[in-house]
Amino acid sequence: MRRKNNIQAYTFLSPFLVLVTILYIFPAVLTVIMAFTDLDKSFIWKFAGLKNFERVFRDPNTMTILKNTAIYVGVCILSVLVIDLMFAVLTTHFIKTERTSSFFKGVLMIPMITPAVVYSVLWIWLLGSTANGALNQLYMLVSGASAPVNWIARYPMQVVIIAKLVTSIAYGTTIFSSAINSIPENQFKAARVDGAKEWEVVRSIILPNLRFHIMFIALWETLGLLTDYTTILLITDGGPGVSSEVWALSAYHKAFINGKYGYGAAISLILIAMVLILMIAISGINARMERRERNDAA
Amino acid sequence: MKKKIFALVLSLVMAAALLVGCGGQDAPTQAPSPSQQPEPSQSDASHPETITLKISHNYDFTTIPEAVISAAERLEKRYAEEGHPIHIEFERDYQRIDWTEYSQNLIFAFKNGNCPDIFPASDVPNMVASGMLLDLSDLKTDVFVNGVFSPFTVDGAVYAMPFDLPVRVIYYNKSVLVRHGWTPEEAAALPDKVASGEFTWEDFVQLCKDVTADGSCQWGLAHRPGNGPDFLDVFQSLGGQYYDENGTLVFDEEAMLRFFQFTYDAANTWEITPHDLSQQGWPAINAMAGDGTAFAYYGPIFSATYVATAVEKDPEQFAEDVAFMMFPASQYNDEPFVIAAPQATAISAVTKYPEICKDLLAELANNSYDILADHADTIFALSSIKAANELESIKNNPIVRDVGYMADHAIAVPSVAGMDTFNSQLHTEIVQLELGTITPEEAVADMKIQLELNLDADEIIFK
Repeated sequence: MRRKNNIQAYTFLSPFLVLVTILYIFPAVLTVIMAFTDLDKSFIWKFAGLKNFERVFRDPNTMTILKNTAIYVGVCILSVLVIDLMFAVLTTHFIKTERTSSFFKGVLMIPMITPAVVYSVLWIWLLGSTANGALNQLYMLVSGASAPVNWIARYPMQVVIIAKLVTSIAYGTTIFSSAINSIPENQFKAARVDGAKEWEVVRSIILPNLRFHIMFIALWETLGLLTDYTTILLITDGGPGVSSEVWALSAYHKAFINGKYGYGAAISLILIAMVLILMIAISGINARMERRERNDAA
Repeated sequence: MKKKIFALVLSLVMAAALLVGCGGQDAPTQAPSPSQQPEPSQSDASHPETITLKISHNYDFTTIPEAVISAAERLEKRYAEEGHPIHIEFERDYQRIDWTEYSQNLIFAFKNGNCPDIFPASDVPNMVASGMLLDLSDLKTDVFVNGVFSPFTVDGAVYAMPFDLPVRVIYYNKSVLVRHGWTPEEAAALPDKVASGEFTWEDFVQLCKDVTADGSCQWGLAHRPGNGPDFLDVFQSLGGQYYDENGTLVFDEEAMLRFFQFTYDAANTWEITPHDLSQQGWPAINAMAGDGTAFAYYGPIFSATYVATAVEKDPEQFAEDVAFMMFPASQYNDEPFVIAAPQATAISAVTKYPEICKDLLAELANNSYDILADHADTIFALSSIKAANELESIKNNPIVRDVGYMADHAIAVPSVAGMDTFNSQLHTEIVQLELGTITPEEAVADMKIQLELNLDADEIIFK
């Protein structure tokens, strides 16, 4: 009976495994191989050794791109966590009416469900460099300035961070809201009986209960931010120059704009290595925290 | 044990699926000779054999592939008269995507054995290197304007047929000059003064400054918003050389610094070019060039269709306000010039019908050039076929009728490997220079290092 179940399990799993192999493992292996070749637009595979990696480390823009990536990921993660927690607490703990709470959560969902192209075009329109740009019209009306400001060119990193933040809020807020709802009500009652103020309730009950959810969102968003460049590509294309270029976008530019697929693959491979190191580090911290918690409980 | 055997079988199934998925027809790297390829069998006049050709095109002006399709009807008649009737049907694949992406898709399609039979040759060096272009050297080329095959010739072999001769020019607004104090006759005579060498690039830049300074227009000189070859014409006016006699890419550091200094000054010192021009879209720039907000604009002459549309004018009305001139001679460049940027049609090296495809292109060039003249008339370009330029449709075109003389000054740039990377990096620097975020010296240093990193040593010469 058990063997029969195993066969059934393998039978059901095999289409999925075949698909994963074709769509993920095979391209991943291909990317690794490609990173060591001179593959370009003519699609002729020539072994190039470590030449592509050498190019990455010789490029003076590499440090700028690394710095941009760190700022983009770091600022976005910190801001997303703070804003998500704030919205989750506000819409779940403080607003007790389900209808009002759902309305606000629904509003937060709008940027997330808007297609990236439409969303980015809206930002470009909003921050248009001419006097017709929406923000410039407001700015010139309020400040009385005669010349418009080229917002995107002047503040490229700030613009892409804000644009990305707005789309990222809904997911974390939803997770945190669900987590807050699952906290046993007696914990809140006990705190109130003890005379705890609202801030103390948030600090001593909500945040400790959300610890693992915060870890999950931090990891999830970090991976997403490191690999997703759509918003930056559509709003600034990494420019002006490389002032808003991040690592994943740089791989895209080398491969699909310059047609240097080998070079692009090498940049991607370095990114994969960075992500792996990060995941191992986060898993290590997670395991240590769990151990400490078990020890404390014991 | 059985479990292990089952796991092994499962692995084999997965491996087989992978091989099936990744298999398929391997694209040959060299074209087989025409004699080895299947051509339609003999058929009688009442039952012509039908063949289907896949024809692809990108972006606007589908008049070229449609000209090929029209020529097929005439070719069918000729085949019938010669006693081997063939009916040619076409499967059209017209797209509107970025040209770099389009040419990559074509090469992907070729590698997957799904290449169209006839398509525009947009990245000749890479297409030739990948083995996807049929050698067309045996086709007659003497009916073409001299030099138009340069961009499509690699190692002495011709790989595509250029079917038009659009040139990149300077558009200028005559009404701005009239507001500046010139008489209408003087404004209209400017192209002649450029052609004779009397009016130089330096005069032109000064005029751009003057018309901006006295308020005859808001901006003196505009250009395309994105990456493209147009900037190279200004670079060349300033004495820049970006390819050598062998068609190898050249980085001319001294001229590049001059060009970058000009770009920086135009936007930040003289303020004749908007410093945020690259952030503005095509509609805004086309309107700027068409309504006189900008005195001059440089780009391909076929853009006149878009510029005229942006200001809602028909070609006759448009020609009343806007005229075209060559890039004037300068202290670095002895002769006025225009760059020819023909669109060319190529044939897949693995087409089932190479001889019929070649007959089609030959029919168009040698006998059906009236269709090409109609195409040139539509897109406001000269024709690459000498006889077509003598036809009424071109001679009466309000835009093209006055620029025929430019064909004598047209320079056809050879196919240069690495040009996409060069243009892309050039535009990156131009954006920053116009915004004033880097100096010309920094731009030169950055461009040099990026070209060293992104191109192979044999692809570029540093001068």
